[in-house]
Amino acid sequence: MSQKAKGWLLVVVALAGVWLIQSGAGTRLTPPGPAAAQAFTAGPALLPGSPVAEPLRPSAPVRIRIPAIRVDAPMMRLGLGADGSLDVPPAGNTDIVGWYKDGTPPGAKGTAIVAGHVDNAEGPSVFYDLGSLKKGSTVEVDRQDGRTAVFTLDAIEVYESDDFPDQRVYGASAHASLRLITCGGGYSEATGYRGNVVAYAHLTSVR
Amino acid sequence: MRRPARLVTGTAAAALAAAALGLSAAAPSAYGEGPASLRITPASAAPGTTVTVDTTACGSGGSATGDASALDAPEFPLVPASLEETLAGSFRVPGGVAPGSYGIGVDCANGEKATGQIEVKSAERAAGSSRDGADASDEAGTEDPAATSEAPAYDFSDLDGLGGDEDTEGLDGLDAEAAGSALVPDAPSEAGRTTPTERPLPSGHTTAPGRDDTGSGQREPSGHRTSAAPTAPSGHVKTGVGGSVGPDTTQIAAGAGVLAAAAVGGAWLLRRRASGTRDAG
Repeated sequence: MSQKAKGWLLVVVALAGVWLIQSGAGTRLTPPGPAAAQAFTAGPALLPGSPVAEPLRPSAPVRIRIPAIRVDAPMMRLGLGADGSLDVPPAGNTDIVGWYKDGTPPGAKGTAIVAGHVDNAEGPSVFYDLGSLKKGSTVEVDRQDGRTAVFTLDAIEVYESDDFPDQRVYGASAHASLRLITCGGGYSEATGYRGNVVAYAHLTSVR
Repeated sequence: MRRPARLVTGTAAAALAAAALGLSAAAPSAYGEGPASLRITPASAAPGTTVTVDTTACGSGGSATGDASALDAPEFPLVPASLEETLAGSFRVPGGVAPGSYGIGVDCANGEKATGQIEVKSAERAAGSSRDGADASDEAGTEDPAATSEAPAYDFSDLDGLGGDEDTEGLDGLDAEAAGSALVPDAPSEAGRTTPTERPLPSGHTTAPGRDDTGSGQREPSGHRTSAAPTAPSGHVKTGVGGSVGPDTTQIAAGAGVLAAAAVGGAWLLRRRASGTRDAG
């Protein structure tokens, strides 16, 4: 290769570097969102072939583990905000998950509601990777009564804020159901996250 | 190309404020005035059985007195147990107690209270499985299974009655949660709730009107809740402010690496050219 060709090659490489930096800076990396294939195919249903465990008596949750996304966090109680929406854990703590204290505790019959931050102003938080869970992923909740409730994901969906399906997410269940909620659905600089990622799970075993 | 700091900060401040509100609202009900939870083992027992009661409501150290007068059992002491911050004690379910749910109370030396309930089985039923017992207590004590899935007609006055003679200010903690298990669901007709002020508010201690608004369902987008009983949450959950949204740092690093390589290559090329010229000359 001639000197001249080498020189041009260097120019091309340098330009490629500039382009990489520029487009990298221009990209907005958002937390992972669930693939369409992970949504319910025909309305909420239990994951086909998954076992259904007998609900436990109510007992408060103390810790949650989601091995697939390396979550192992303590749980706190959450109430409702003045607007009727679920309160959230303190944003400063990136390793805490909340549960709706006036609702079903995880493992008991009904719909237990669990929420965690996807991020705070500084960076990723406990549920950053929630959207990368898949059908069949397991969630374990340690409870005050010493039992561990093991849930299996039935689906994971994402909703726009103004189109949030209250009944589907918070509604009744004949099983011991669990909902894991975090922010997602795209991000806009003006309005923040456009919606919520919601994982649906049911109790499949108890330890 | 930085992230939109101002916007993010504004949203973050709002979220932090909301979180702070949530905390201050949650803390008192968890550790403050409301009766806390009591663990009763076994939760379902036949007359004559010795039952263990433990609670973390009293904090570390101290002692407490258990009140099983609903069962006509004498007072019993609770003393520090092996688990940190746990007090435990036991009492015997007297013979001849009719099957049903009975409230058990605990008064801590520091003034805190805890309540729970025990399901007393009939003597024959004692031989049955514990699951039967648990189901029975669910039915009697906290929720009607049919109501859970459809129309949870949860009767608070009933629960309050079960909470024990003295602890009628409402059941917080586990038992309220147990009761609430029927309530997360859509609750079209929870008219049975007659004691709205006896229970810590789900929306915290902000303002009563706020809670009324929430409870009345006026602001529910889907408008399906109509009573003041504890409601399910509604709508979007504010679980992020976008601090993790940002440039692709991996790609930027790769670009910087490529540029550096080009620079090194360029320098090397120039040097060779210079030395090559000298050699030729």
